[in-house]
Amino acid sequence: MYRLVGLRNFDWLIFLVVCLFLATSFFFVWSSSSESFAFKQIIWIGVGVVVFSVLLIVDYYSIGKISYILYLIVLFCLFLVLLFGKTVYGAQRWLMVGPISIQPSEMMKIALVLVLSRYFVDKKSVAGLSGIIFPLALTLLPMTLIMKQPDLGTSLIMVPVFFSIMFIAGVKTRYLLTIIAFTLSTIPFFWYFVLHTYQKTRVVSFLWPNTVSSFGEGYQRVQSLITIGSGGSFGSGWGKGVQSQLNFLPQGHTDFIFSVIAEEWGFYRAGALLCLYVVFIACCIGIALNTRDPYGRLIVTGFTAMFAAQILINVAMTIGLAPITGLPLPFISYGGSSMISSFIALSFIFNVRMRNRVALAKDGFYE
Amino acid sequence: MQKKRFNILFGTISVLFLVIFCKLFYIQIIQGGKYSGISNNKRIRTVDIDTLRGTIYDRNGSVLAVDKHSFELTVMYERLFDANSCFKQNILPRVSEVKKLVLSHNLCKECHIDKEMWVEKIAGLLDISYIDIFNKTAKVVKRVKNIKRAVEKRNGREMRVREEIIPHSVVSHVPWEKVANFEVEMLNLPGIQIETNPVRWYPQGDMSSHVIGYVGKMGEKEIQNYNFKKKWFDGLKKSGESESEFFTQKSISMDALIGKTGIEKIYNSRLMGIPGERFEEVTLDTMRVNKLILERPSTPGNNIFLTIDSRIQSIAEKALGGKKGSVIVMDPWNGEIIAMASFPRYNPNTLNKDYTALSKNPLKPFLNRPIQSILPPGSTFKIITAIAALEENKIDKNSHFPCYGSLKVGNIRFRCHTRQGHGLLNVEEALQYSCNIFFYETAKVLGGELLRKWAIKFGLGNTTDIDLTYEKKGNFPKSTSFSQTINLSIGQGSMLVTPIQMVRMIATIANGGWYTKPHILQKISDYKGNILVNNNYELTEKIDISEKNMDIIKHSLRKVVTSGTAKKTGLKELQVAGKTGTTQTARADENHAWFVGYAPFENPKYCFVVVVEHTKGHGAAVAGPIVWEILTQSESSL
Repeated sequence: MYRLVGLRNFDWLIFLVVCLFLATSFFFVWSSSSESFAFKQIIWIGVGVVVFSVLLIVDYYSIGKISYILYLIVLFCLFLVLLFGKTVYGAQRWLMVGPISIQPSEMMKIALVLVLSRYFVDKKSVAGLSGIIFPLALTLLPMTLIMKQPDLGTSLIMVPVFFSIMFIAGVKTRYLLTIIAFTLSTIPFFWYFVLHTYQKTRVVSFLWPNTVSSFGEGYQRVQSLITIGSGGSFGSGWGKGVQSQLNFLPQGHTDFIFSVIAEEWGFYRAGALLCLYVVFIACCIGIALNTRDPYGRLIVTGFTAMFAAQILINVAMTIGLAPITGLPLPFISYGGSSMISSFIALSFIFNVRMRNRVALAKDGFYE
Repeated sequence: MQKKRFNILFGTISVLFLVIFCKLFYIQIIQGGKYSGISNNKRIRTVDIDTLRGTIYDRNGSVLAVDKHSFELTVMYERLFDANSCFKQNILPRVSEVKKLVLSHNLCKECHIDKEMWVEKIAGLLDISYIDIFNKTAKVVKRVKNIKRAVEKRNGREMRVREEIIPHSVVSHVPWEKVANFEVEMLNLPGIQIETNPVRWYPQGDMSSHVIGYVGKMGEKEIQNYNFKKKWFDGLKKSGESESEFFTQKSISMDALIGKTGIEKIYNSRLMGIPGERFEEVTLDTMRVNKLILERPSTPGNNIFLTIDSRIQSIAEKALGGKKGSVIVMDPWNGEIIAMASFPRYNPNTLNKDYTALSKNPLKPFLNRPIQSILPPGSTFKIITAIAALEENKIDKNSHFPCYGSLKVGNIRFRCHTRQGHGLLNVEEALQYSCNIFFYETAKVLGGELLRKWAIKFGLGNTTDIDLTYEKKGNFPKSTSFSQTINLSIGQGSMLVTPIQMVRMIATIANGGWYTKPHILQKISDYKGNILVNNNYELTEKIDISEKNMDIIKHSLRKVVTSGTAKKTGLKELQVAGKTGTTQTARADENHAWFVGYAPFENPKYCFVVVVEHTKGHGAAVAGPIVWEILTQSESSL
C-alpha cells in the first residue's frame, strides 16, 4: 500500500508549470492587496506542498477503496456547516474546528471525483439508463447542500466533473444528452425557488449589462472590464495598475486576480498565462489517456475537468463572459482552502502518473 | 472509443479557451482605448455623488433637521497643492502688489503664474479675500497629507490616496448670483468647478437644539482613524439592506458631514446615506470630463422620528424664557420624552459664525442641561426619604415628629425653613409643608445605608442611558457621618443628580411603581418611508413598593399643590401633583428652584421636571409658574 515509487515517472513539465503559477500568485497577491497577504499565501503554498507530498506516498488505489466512507464524512460535514457554520459575507461556508476553519465544499469536489470513479469502475456495465441514476444522486445531494450555503460557484463545478467522468466511463451519449435536456428544463424552477436575490442580480447584470449598472452589482463587472481593458498590450507594469492599486476593483486578490494580472501584465503576458493553463490541462489529459488503469483514468479525468471548469469560469467571469460566481483561479487566487484542494487534486494526478500500473480493465475499455 | 472521447473532451476545453482568448484580445487590444485607465493624458477618476442625510422629524411629523442644497466651489487637489507650495515660499502673484515689486518677484511670477493664478481670479469673481482662500487651501492640503501619512503607515508603502485626485471644497455657501459670474469664466479655470452640495438646515432654529445636535466635518481624531472600510454603514448592513460586499471597499469622503452631538451623533450611521459614485474619464491637462463611464446613484439616509412634540417643546422653551435651567416633559407610561428644553441655547444654523462667542459664554450654551447639569435635588428628594422610611417600616402613616424650627445634633444646629416650626406632623404633612425637621428625625431612625439603597433603586446618581450624547452620571455619596446623612435626607450635601434622573424618579411614582427608560427615538424609516425600527418601550419591571405607601406618597404630593408649599401657584385646578424644592448653593442669595410632578393626578399623562439654576426665588415661586404656563398652554391649544 505504501509502496514507494521513485521519481522515475514524476511529471516534471506539469511541476514546472505549477511552479510558474505559484510564482505568479505570490507577486500578484502582493500587488493587489499587500505584502502580508503575499507572505500568508506563501504559507498556504507551503501547507499545500506538504499535503501534496504526503498524499504522493499513499497509493491512490488504497484511498479509492475508502472513497465511499470519505464521501459520507464530507457529506456529514456539509450538513454540519448548514447547522453550525461560520458566516462570512452572508454565506455559511466555513466549519470551525478549534482555531482552523475548513471549507467542506472544497473537499466535496475531491470526494465526488473519487466516489464517482469508484462507482463506474466497480460497475460491470454502464449501458443501461438505470446505471446512471445512482451517480446522479451522488452528485445532486452535495450540490443541493452547497447551493444552500449559498455557494453557487462550487456547486456548479460539480456539473462538468460529473459529465466528463460519465463521458469517459463510456455512458452512451444520448443518455448524457437526456440529462442535459432535463437540467435545462428545470432552469425556471431554479430562478424562482433556489437563487438568492443577489445571484439573480448577477445573472441579470451579465445578460443585460446596461440595465443594472445602478444595482451596485454591475459595479464589480464593469470595474473588472475597465481594469482588464486598461492593461492594453503590454500592461502598466507590476504594482502600477491604477485600477487595482486605487482599490477600484473589489476582491482583487481572490476571485478577480486575473483582472489585476491582465491590467499589470497586459494582453501578451496574460495570454501566455492562459496558454500555460492550456498546457497544464493538456498534460493532465495526456496522463489520463496513457494510464492503463481505468480507475486512475477516471480520477485524472475528473480532476482535470474540475481544474478546467474553474479556470474557464473564473476567467470568463472577469472578462464578462459569465455571471459573477465566487470561484477562485486555481493555484493563483489568494486563499487557503482552494490552494490546498488544488494541491490534493494535483497530487492524485501525479499519483496516477507515477503508479502507472498494469491494466486490470475489462475488455473493450480501450481499443 | 476511449481515445475518441478524450479528443472530444480536450477539443471542447480548447474551444472554450479560444473563446476566452478572443474576448481578452477584444477587450485589451481592439477596445483598448475605451477603458484606457492610464495613458499619458487620460485618467479615470471617481467623483462622489453626495447623498442626502436623513431628515429628523418630531412625533407629529414636523421637520427638525433637513438637508438643503447650497453652492460650493471645488478645486482639484493638484491645483490646491501647487498654490499652497507657492504660498509657502511667499511667491504670491498679487497683481496689485506685483506692480510694486516688479523687480524682485517678476521672475517668480513668470514661472508660477499658472499655478496660483486661479486664486486671484476666484477672489475677484466671488468677491472674497484671497488670504481666506489660501488659508483654506493650506488647511485642505494639510488634511490630505495627514490622511496620506496615516494610510501609508498602515500599508507600509507609498500610496496615492483617493483624496489626491478629487476636487475639494474651498468656498462654501456661494450666493447664486456669483455662481452665474463664475460659470462665464469657468472655461478659463480648469480643475475648478461649482458643485451643489447639501447643507444641514434646522428650520426651527434654536428650538431643541441640544436634543437634535449638529453636524460637522471629520476632525483630526476621526482622520487618525481614517479607514477604507465604511464603518459608518455597519448599521445599515446589519439590517440586511444590501448584500453587496462592495460597500466595505469604499472609503468615506473626507468632506462628509458627521453628527457631532445629540441625535445627529447617536444615530449618525442611520442618518448618513451611502454616497453614489461617478466614474469619469478626464483629460489630465485640462481636467475636463471626456465621458462618463459609470454612475452609481446615492442612497439617502434613514429618517428619524423623535418623541419630541415641537408644539409642547416650544411652549416649554417659551415658559422657561431667559432663565438658566431645564424643563423635561415625559410620558410616564412609556418613557417618551415629549419636551426637553434647556437654556441658554445655540442656533445650529449659524453655529460656524457664533462658535467662538458661544464657547466663551460663561453660561455654557453648549451644555444640554437636562442631562448634563448636575445639581443637588433639594427638597424634591424628600419623596425618596419618605418612601424609604415607609417601606423599611421605620415610620408609618401615623408616626408624628415635632418641629420646633431647628434641631440640634451634636454641636450642629440644623434649621427648618420657618423659624417658629411646624409643630407636630406626620409624613403627609411633612411632605406637604416640606418640613426639614421631620426628615431629619426620619433620617435618624433610617440611617444612611437604607437611604442610599432607595435612592439608587430610583436611579438617582446613575445615568438613565437616554439616547443622547454625553449624559452626566451625578453622584450619590456613601454617607460617612450622621450629620451627612441628615443633610442627604433633604437632598443637600454632596448628592448630585441630573434633571432627567429626577423625571425618571417621578415617572415611577406617577405610573404606580414601574421603571421607565427615558428615550427620544420614536421610529426610524428609510427614505421611501418603510419603517425599519419601531421603538416601542413597554413597562416590564416594577419597583417593590406596597400600594398603601404609594398612595400615601401620591396623596401627599397632591396636597403639596392643593394646600402645601405650592398652593399659591394655581396648579391645583390643573390636577397637578408634585413637589417643590429649593436648593441652597454656596452663595447665600442664589438657589436652584425645582419642581417635579405629574398631571393629571388621577390618570397621569405627563410627568415633568422644571429646574431654574442660580435664581433668587424659591421652588414654588420660580418653577411653579413655568409648570402652570406649560400645562395651561398645552391643554388649551389641544
